[in-house]
Amino acid sequence: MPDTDSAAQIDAVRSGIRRRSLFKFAGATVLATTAAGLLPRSVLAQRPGGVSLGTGETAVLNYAFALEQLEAEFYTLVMKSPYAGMNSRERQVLTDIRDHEIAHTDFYRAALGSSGIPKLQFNWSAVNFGDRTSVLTTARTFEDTGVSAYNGAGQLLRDPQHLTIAGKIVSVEARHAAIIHDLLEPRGSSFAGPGVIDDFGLDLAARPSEVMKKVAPFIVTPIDSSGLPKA
Amino acid sequence: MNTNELLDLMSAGPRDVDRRDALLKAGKAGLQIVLAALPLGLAAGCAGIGKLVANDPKRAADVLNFALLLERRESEFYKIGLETPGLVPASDRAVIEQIGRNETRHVVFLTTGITGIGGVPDTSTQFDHTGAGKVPDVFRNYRSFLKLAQTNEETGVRAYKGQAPFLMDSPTLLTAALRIHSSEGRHVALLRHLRGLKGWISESQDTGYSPITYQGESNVTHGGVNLSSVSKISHRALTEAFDEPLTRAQVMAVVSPFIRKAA
Repeated sequence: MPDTDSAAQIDAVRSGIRRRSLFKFAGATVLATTAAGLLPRSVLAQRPGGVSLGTGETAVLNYAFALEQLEAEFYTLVMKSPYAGMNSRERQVLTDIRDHEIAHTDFYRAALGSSGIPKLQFNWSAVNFGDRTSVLTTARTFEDTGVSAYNGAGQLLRDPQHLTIAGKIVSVEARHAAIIHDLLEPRGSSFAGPGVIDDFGLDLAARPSEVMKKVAPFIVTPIDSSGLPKA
Repeated sequence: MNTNELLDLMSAGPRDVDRRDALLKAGKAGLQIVLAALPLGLAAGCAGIGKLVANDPKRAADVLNFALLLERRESEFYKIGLETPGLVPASDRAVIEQIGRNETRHVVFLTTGITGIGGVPDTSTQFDHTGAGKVPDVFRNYRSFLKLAQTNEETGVRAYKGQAPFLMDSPTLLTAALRIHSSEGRHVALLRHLRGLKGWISESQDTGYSPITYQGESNVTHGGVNLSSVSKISHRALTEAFDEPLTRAQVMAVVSPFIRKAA
């Protein structure tokens, strides 16, 4: 069963952004998702201001690095101007998650060194940082998407050490996801319910192309992900 | 065979051998359908099953049987807890029921998967959820129940993390294991919350019944990167941001008191 809430939310976000800035985001979306199949490589390489994830193992790690950057900046902004009525539990949770996501970006930056992508530019116009629901539903989408991204990318990795590190991170993302679900639906079942866990008890997993499509509305910097290994 | 029949099949205890065999026989044709329907094509012969199963089906089945042991224990643990009158309060019931449901599904999935790759699901192990007296009031005292539930789930997260590299030659099995792994991460975060703890592990604080379950969690060096030297984030948060794997031997040391010795 699809997570209809977040799917609807993402659609709303995406159409909102398209209305506001069609050209820019349409460009980013195309680059991130389908360009590899439609355009010759030279066109991608020539695109000004674009970022390539690289190839092979590096591309997979840079893909994770990009998602962690997205999350880290989001929670940094959340805690820079906390929404009205943020209670002490929410403050603790969101501050901790911010620090965890920054730690993840610090890891990838150090581990990838000169192969790492630079700092990406994001667009937050779809998020109302003053509004609890807007912030927490965005957080839920990012955490669930993060879990699905790591679960889907594990099989693209070739180095067991990288797989273990991805595993060290994804279970923390899963913890985040569950707690954010609980903030939105206290002591409900959505943290591990049919929206995220299927009939076989399996959590979300998504291919990079699906993930990039989901996050494209938030990413300004064109990303060339054509060097990612194919499953 | 539909999911309910599968659940019925899997709830057949080790003493119900006849019933299990009858159910298996009846569902043999259905089993193929279930296998074909599995996400990412978990069925023998699928390309995604890969080298591991092709070259070493015994090893693949062995890893999955290790996972099955943990899942059978968890599934039974929640089943007994939820069936014990007055144990799980109404306020927490939706959470515990959802976790229990997922664990039972993991049992079904792994059993189906092991069968699908030509292995034999090991359902012989029986459990003593008191850990031979370690947690005598586990089904009488909700706090003990939650604390052991948390310990079990944390151990499960670390166990899958430790086993993942052994499944790398089989993309399908690896992805399935990763998807179970993160579901256990979701479970444990909520169980911790129900106990008034943060959803994540700070340093290596033993908040469960077994120090091994938290051993090494304060590590901040990953892949040769010592995060303390490259990050401004507090040491506590650095340790929370990464979960650590456990070896199979470590996991068995945690779990063995909860395994009933053969009579």
